[in-house]
Amino acid sequence: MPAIEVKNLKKSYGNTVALNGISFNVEEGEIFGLLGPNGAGKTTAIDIIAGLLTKDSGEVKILNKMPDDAKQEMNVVSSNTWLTGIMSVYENLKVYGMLYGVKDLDERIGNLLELFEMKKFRNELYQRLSAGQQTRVNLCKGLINSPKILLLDECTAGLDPNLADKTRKIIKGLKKKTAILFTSHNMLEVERLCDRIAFLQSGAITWMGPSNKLKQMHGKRTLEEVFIKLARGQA
Amino acid sequence: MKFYRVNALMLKYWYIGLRRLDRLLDVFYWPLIGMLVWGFAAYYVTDLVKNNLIIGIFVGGAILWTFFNRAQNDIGIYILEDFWSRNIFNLFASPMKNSELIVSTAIFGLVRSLASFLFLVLIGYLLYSFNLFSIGILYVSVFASGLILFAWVIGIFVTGMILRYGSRIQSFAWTIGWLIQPFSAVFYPLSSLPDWLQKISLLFPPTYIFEGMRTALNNGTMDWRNLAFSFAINIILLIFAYLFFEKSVISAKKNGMLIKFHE
Repeated sequence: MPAIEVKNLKKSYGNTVALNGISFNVEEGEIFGLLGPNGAGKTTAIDIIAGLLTKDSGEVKILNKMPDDAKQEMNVVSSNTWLTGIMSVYENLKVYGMLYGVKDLDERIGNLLELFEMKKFRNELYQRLSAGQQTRVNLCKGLINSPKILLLDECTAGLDPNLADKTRKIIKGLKKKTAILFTSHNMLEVERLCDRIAFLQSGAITWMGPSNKLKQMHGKRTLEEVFIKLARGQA
Repeated sequence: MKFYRVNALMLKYWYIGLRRLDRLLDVFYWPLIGMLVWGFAAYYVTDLVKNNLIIGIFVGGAILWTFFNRAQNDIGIYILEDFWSRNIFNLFASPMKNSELIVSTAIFGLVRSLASFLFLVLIGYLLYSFNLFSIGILYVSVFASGLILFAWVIGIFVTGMILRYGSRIQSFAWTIGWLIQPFSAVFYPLSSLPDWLQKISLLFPPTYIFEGMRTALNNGTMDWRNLAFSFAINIILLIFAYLFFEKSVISAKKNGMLIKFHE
């Protein structure tokens, strides 16, 4: 049973087609990357899988359940969203930990803050943190319930190369217990992290498989070169 | 000073005004409300002065009205704060149920409005020697219960509106209480209103509460039948408001309101 199962997923806003029948699976223990230029439909796909957006047609199953029924075992981190600015890091994580019914919450929060090197900011207001620090708190929130399914939408945006590298290692370490759906504009990150990728363009998947195979197919050395070629329609 | 820049800024406010219908309320509705409330009150005051009840009616009305308005306000405003802080996405991505969101804001609003209520009762006593509890704790509790139910009706309805239309209707959350105040006979009796307006007022549960408060202050009695009727209206409205809210969540998920920000 795939951890995430997406079949012929379609979504439009008025006349604008955001997703035009995409299908893919994410297996347990896999990091699956959704790539594509801006407006390709990556975030729309994640929002539907997270149960925040209704699909027009198609099927989405999370651990063989509907997205709304799987929220307890799932979490999402998006660079477009914030936590509550006038609450401290600890208060934000405590609220979300309670929403997910996490046991030994204080210990869990302490461990996550240590993992992301945010312990000294525990009592700092979220709005006073830098973009990179906020990103790390968002990731703490994303892991608060030890999710079986983790949706990461450009979650490393705003991190400096050192922290981004540390964060990648943390994400890679999670995959034993967690199926991860990942989007990023950093192609190096995608190459290093993802077991398989799907390339989305204008709401459709134009290619899916391991990134090495995609590079070979297009005769390019890096995924970034392939990305530029595909995004410019030179395939 | 350059006139073309003043012109550009005025054009900007005009564009915003076109998209913010609530701003039209500032121009027409509120001036009208002020005129109506104090006009109707003026008729009533003449009688009250004769019977030495003026302080009780106005201060009692203000205390109970504030209690209602605080409670209804809080429900919508906490949701708005999640829109402003772009946190609504995370909240709805969590296992939180729609009913949990409503119950938590309703309870929190109740606690805050009770604090306001007790504070105002104390102020009323210290400044105006008016004790609302002189009509009896039972009566005050019944009035407060009726008002809190209606506050939840309004608060849940406003929350549904915010989920449908986003924070662009935010001032609605602050002003809806005042929108319905002239029809709720807060500071003057129902009989002060024209006949056609009385019929509308009878649809609003607070009308029965404030009428009841005045009767209790006047002669220490209560019209239980009318109050029971207001509770029945409240329950029906509460059911409709909640159904509207649930449909609004569905609509928000369909049109992407939970993932759009600064709408």
